[in-house]
Amino acid sequence: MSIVSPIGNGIKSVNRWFSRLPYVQNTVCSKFQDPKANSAWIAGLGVASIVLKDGFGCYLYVKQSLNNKEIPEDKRKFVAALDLANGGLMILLQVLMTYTISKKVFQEKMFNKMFGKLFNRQSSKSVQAIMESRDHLRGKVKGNQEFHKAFADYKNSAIAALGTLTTLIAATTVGKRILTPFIATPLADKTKEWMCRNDKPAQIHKDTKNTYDTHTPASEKVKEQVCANKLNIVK
Amino acid sequence: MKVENVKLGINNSNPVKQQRAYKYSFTGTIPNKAANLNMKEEIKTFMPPIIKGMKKVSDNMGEVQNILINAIGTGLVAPIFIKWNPLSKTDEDTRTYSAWRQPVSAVLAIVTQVGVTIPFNRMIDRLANNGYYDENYNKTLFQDKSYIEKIIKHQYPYATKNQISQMVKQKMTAQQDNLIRMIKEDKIVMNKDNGQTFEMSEKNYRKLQEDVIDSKLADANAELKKCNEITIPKKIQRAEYYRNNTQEAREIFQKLSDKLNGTSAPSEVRKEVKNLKKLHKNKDPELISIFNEILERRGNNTKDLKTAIKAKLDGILRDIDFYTTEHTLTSKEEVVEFVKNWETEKRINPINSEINVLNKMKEMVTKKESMSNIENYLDSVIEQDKGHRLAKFKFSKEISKLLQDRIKNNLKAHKQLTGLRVSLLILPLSCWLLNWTYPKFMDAVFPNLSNKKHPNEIKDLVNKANKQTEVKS
Repeated sequence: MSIVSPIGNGIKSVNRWFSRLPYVQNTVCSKFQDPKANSAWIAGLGVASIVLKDGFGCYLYVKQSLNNKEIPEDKRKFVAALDLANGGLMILLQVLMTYTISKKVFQEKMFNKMFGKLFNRQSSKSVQAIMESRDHLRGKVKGNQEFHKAFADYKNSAIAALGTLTTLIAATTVGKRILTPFIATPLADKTKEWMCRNDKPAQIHKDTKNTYDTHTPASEKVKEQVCANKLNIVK
Repeated sequence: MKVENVKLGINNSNPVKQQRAYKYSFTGTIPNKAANLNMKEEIKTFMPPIIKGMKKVSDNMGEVQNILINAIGTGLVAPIFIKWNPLSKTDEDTRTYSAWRQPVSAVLAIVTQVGVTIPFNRMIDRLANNGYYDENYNKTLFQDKSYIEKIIKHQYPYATKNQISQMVKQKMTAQQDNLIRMIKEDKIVMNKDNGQTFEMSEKNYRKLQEDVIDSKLADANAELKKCNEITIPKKIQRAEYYRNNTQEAREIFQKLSDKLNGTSAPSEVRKEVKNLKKLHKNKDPELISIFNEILERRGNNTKDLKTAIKAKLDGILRDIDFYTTEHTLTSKEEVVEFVKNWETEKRINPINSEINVLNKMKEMVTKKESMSNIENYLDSVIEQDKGHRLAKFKFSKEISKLLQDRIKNNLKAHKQLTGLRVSLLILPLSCWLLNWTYPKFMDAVFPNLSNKKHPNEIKDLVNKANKQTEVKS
């Protein structure tokens, strides 16, 4: 018997067991039944998923960066420090951004500003008039409750999508990738100092010594060196 | 049962007699599009592209999309803020070195996490379609088009594309009819992947019935509230304006209507309305409000915009005639009374009747009366009043729709949680891959940043060292 079948059956059983959990059935599934009303909760679940992964990832990255012999030793602690500062800050800022952006008042204002015109009374009347002008729909749209239901469905979808997208973008792009590095990079300097507080001065091999300065890019230096060598040959 | 059948969840054995009654046949007909108007599909053509896009995002949002949004931020935005960070005192090369880690990490996150989440999502769909899950995630009564297609392709390997598409449509219709028949008999029987069947719990079934009625009641109550609080006061205000400014209103809007009829560019009329708005800015605010309503009319193209504005102008001219010529109203009190009576007769009474019928139906559901009794009651109401607001309301069809939506949403939630678990499990591999790939990528692409000497430089250094040794010796 192949080993794939028991593994597959095991995965399926675990998955079904998870689907039967009371929290999944009573809370998570019920929130997904009304995406418009629960857009903040659903977006929060998305961010929670990312935050959980970030927390676990941060631990793994720091541990692995510190032990990664392939990263130059003089840069290893900075990379690890950056990971640690990044991890802590990104979790904090993502949670903060989610709580701010996903607020109902904020979402409603943003939606009305961006898409309000497309869902007001005149817009609905416009769509009705345009649909009524088509031969196969003549006499079937005005006064039809199905129209209002379908129109509202588009509005609800737009509200849910905007809520989820803005929350995720605010958390994962603005909070995590703009604000975090901005604060984390200088914080990493401090973290690195803290991590190196008991270290002896690093023995840097002359061949891998960091000779670069912040004023002249490395590529320029190489070019200068090549020019100087050529001049020496000419002389 | 054949191995292929087990894999596809095809259940040929059907030992339970009772199940036969609910088995669909291939004799179903394809519904006539004109007869069964699908408003959601029809309205789609007329929605602005951005809204169609938003709906697509909303329908497809899940763990994969979360990972992608996160990866875009990681790969494209983060490096900029690491490399060009004025607050950092670390040298530029080290910052550039660290910044390049982000795009590498983003690509690896997509490859590993999405690469694992998608097969899991497909597995969940397959299991839901073949009846592996309980009733909250069981799609055996309304299987996905792609799943049915796969089964038919397997059962009829020599069928043409057209034949397969026809059979898929027939089977989907048959499944829908079968589900409605079950609902009418108060017995929803779902299939299991092992060939057995089970009946949906009474509690969940009654909850579905109640939720359909509650949703309809909520809509009716909202409409009633809107009618009393917004529509009637607004109509009174508008009628009063037309009564006091009949001549002016008729002249302005007739002129606009004539102009619109004589042009193919509705933008000219919009321009004219904007000018009129400026010209009449100190007059009755109701007139400005009408101008704004015309300006709010929209269409995805010139022809549609013209249709939308024309409908508005025609409506205005009709209302002017209605409130001033057809019905002679001499005072504000008369206007108020007339509008209230008219709206009560035309709108409020039908909504109240709808609410009463729905409440009666809810009572019947609470008393656990049979579906046929409830539908018979609804039919008797419609028989007496053909134009009743519930004339087109098919209770069993609405229950079927809600059941399908509910299971679809449950599966969405299940997929999102599964995606989270799976991507958490795969994370150590992602991290290991990043630490393995990142230095190698930097050595290969940016050797200067990684302090890795080029092979030629190393060769030169070795030669130089050898020469020095030779000289010394």
